[in-house]
Amino acid sequence: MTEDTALALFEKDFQKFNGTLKRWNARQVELTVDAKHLLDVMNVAITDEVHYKFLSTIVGVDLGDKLAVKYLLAHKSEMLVVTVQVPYDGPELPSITVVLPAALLYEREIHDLLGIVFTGHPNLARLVLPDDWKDGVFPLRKNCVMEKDDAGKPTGACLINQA
Amino acid sequence: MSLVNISVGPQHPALKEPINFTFTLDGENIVSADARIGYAHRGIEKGMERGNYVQGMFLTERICGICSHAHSMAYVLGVEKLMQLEVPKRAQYIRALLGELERLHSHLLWIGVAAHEVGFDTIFMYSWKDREVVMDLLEELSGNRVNYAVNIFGGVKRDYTKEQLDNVRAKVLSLKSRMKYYIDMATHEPSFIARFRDVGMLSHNKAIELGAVGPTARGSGVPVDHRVTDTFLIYDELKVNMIVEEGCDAMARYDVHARELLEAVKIIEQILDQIPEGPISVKYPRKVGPGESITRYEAPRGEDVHYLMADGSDKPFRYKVRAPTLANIPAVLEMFKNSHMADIPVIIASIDPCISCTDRAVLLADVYTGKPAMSWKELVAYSNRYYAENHGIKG
Repeated sequence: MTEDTALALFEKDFQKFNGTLKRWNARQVELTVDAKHLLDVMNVAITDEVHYKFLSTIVGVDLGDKLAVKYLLAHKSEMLVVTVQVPYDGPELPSITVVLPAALLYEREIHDLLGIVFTGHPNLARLVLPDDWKDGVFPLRKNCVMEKDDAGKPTGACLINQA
Repeated sequence: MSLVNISVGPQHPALKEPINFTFTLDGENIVSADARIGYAHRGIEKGMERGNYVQGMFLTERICGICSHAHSMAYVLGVEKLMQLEVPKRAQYIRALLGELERLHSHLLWIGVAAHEVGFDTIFMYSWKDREVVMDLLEELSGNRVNYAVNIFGGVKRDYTKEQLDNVRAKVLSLKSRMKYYIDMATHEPSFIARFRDVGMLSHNKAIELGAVGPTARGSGVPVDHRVTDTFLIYDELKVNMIVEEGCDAMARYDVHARELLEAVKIIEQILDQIPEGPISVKYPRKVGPGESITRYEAPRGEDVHYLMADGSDKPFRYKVRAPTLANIPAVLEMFKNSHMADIPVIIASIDPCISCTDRAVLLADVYTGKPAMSWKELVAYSNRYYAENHGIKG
């Protein structure tokens, strides 16, 4: 199957998830879907017809008012970016490790740095942050700043999430 | 017999990327393994959001000491996509030349380390001597042995004379016969074969499922090499053969590395033959975007993915880096299953992790008491002794 038809097939297939499709360039397409469709989309993406079986990485982004998670799926030179958005408070997403075991470490990293809980992940333990890191402080969130003392000077040691 | 947990790693003050493995052992056999990273997490992604794009260039170059050019390339290519710059051909050839020289020195380094882990220090000395030739070349071309700093948005900072490029050709070709010797040795030397063959098995399907990249994936028969399967720089104008081995073991990964050395020499020759005359850079704007870009660069260790979200200012809004070793960690955990404890050093080395993290620093400790039980040196000595006593293989 040529790459063109794989992409066309996938565009047709994903109509049913009410997603919005955005073409970045000839070889990269972004699909934004509701979080409840995430696992269904992944299940279709890894089928032999669509063939996006390689998970390059998962990117977590703090958009300011909400969080976004982008799954970078690849097939040869093509890339399909599946984007879901989650609210700032109590962000939760289903883990895609049941479909793509390659996500094991990427989900742990995002859990550490952005505080998104992936339900169904076999072991969501700390991966990159130190063991004595304060709970509830997520360094990659935009409101995460250096802690300051009463005089307004940074204490240098710790980051806090401003309310 | 009950299962025993042992912890390997991560202590060493000089390490860039220390890693800790927890092995569950049943006697000599590994039942399962888990990894913990982040002991030297430097917060580079957060740091990228604070500096402007030019500062980011210096920061990305320092993500890795071995493949610094790969990270710098992935960053520059991603930003240039959003700047919509047309980079001059000569600059692209110079970038590719540096990239292939970097691949040479990285693979030569790896062959030396792999040989060292099985007690074959002659090859370690040979390949690191050859690596010096490449390092000297890189120093002549860029001024630095590591962190070459040749990239700038829109091109490169340095141009080269014909004499300099001829010197590259002469020196690289002088290494060719020695590289053939490394391939020969791997296929004929019995002690090498005994330590590598059928060690650290990673099946073809598992390699795909766990998202292995680079020589680790290619050693399991997965045809993925972005110089061929994706297009970036001028690789579509060059003839690049993808090296794929079906062995699925540490031997196959050694073969991939060794044969890629010869392939890199061929690519360097083509680059030197085809490099056009012309300007080496164009002007670039200060502000970028808004927009998003994803770049996949084939680093010596595999796919290096950089993601950039720009908001139209002079600073990145979000920058994400996924280095190849992270993608290979689930694969290496799979390789450990049903392996011998004595094979731990070879398996860790076989995925070509950033060597500074594994080679000098791993510490074997009892997880219950925390008392160090074995240093990395002792573990290597133990595994060499194990093979010498039980299989009559002398290093």
